[in-house]
Amino acid sequence: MIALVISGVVIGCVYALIAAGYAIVYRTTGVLNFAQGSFVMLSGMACSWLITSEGWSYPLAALGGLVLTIAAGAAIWMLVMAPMLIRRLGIGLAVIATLVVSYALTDAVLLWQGPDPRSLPAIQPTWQFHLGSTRVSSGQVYVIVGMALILLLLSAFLKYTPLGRATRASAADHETAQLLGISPVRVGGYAMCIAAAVGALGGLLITPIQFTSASGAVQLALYGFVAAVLGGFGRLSGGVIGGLVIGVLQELVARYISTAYSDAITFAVLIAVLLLRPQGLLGAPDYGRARRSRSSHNRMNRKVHHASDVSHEGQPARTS
Amino acid sequence: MGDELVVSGISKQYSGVQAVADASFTVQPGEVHGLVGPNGAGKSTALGILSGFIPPDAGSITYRDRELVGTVPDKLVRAGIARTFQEPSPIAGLTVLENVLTGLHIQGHAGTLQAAVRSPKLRAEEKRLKAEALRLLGSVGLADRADADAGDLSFGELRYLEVVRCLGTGATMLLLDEPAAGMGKTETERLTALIDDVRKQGRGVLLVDHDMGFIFGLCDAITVMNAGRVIADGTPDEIEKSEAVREAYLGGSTGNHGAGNHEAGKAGAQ
Repeated sequence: MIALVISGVVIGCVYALIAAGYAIVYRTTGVLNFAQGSFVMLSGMACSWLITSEGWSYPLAALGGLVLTIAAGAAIWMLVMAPMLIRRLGIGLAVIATLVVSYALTDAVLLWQGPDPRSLPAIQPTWQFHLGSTRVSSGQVYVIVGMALILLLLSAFLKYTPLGRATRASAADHETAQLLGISPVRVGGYAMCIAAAVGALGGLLITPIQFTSASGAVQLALYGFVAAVLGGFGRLSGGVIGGLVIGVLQELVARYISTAYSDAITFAVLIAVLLLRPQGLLGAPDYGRARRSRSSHNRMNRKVHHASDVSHEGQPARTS
Repeated sequence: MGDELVVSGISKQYSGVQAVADASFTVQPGEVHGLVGPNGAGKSTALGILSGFIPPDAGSITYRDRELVGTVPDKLVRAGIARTFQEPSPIAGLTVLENVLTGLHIQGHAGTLQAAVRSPKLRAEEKRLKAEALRLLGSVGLADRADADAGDLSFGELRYLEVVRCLGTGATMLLLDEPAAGMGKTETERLTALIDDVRKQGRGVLLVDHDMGFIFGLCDAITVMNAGRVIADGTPDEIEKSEAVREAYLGGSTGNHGAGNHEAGKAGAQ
């Protein structure tokens, strides 16, 4: 039982990192980025490839995987999302595009690396301890501690640095942020790079203890999304709670019921939570407060040259 | 040279309605330039065009020898043109200080990477910008509210924040959309002093307002619009004597007699 909870928490941490990626991209651009799971897969696969085929040392290969994944995030933004948003083709299309990108990345990696699952060497130093009769490995602890550190760093970045402040400003009110000289297109690009980095780090932490394969990306994206919605969309802490709940739940279902029902029960829980508590377990962040309280009067002539055409409530934004 | 904001022949049509028709005027640096007119005169649309939010159908806007039509708002701010909104738009979730700092950062010199990691150079700059932000907030009595969430300010405080945040961008041409709306006498006086300071710094101000006392008391030049057209352009004295202006406000073709009379009454009282 304890072993199940621990392995559930470990995979839940990865979902939490994916959920954080969703949150940051969604808040700054309004787009649900379903390529989020691909970042986790891509970094693990790239690192493994750099070690086995190119003979790089592990730390260097890990760095290579991280950089490559961030580059992929930036490329998705510049080549796919930004052009769509600038031409105002609509948020919905951009969301579908990220889904397409996710499948395309999976296929690309399948062609490039084949369908075999990959693993990475254990992160040094390795050690273990016992919790009752349950063995806890260092790899599992690294994932949990790593997730906590990454999200703390991310919150500190958002709170204390000018770029973080610009990101928050743009997320809260991109029109006004624009008037203060903040380009939504640039901020969206930074958000994608950050989301890719967070996902990549998750991949580098999890791949040593759990196999990663090209085809796992879309599933990761989906579970991460469920975690984000379950905890309260847009909140980093919500993603953590949601991720842990989903991770542990999946382990328990797989052990006591059947792995075949894992997905069904995961989504049933999501639907139940959404029916009872649509704002998620922790509730949605209140960054939209000012927008809602503002009347649309005199905002008719604010034509938004932005990315996002959709307010956070999913209603068309007040554009003329 | 080229430091004046030259608006020439801008037009904008909305589904058959000519909101702005071939409007031209020039705002000099170090000048407070009033833009007035009855409701529906096209002031707001003109301001929207000037701040890059509304693409005009025709016309050109030049500042510092640069054509600015087609420039997105965030680039316009960097080119030196910033605006406020009639309805204050605080960035809720950020503190009052952070609201001002967000704009001030245009003046910062640290690069993106430095902005992401808080290098020593950036810390020094951040300290300087923070002091500047607090000074700006202090000039309107908001210093002690610096750490409050901007969404929690009172309406009057928000008005000041809107103006101060705009000043903080370092823009040299400020477009202020009814900054005194809903303000009491002492508040308006404080705002007047603030705008006067801006003028003394050699920055230009385009001031849209309904309060004729405020406009006539502060402006060096006034442009009057009616039904999308510029009907008069000149010093406050010339405007006061203008037959066309009197007619627009009193006999108005805008169907807005009540407001027109009221405003004309105020103007006449000057």
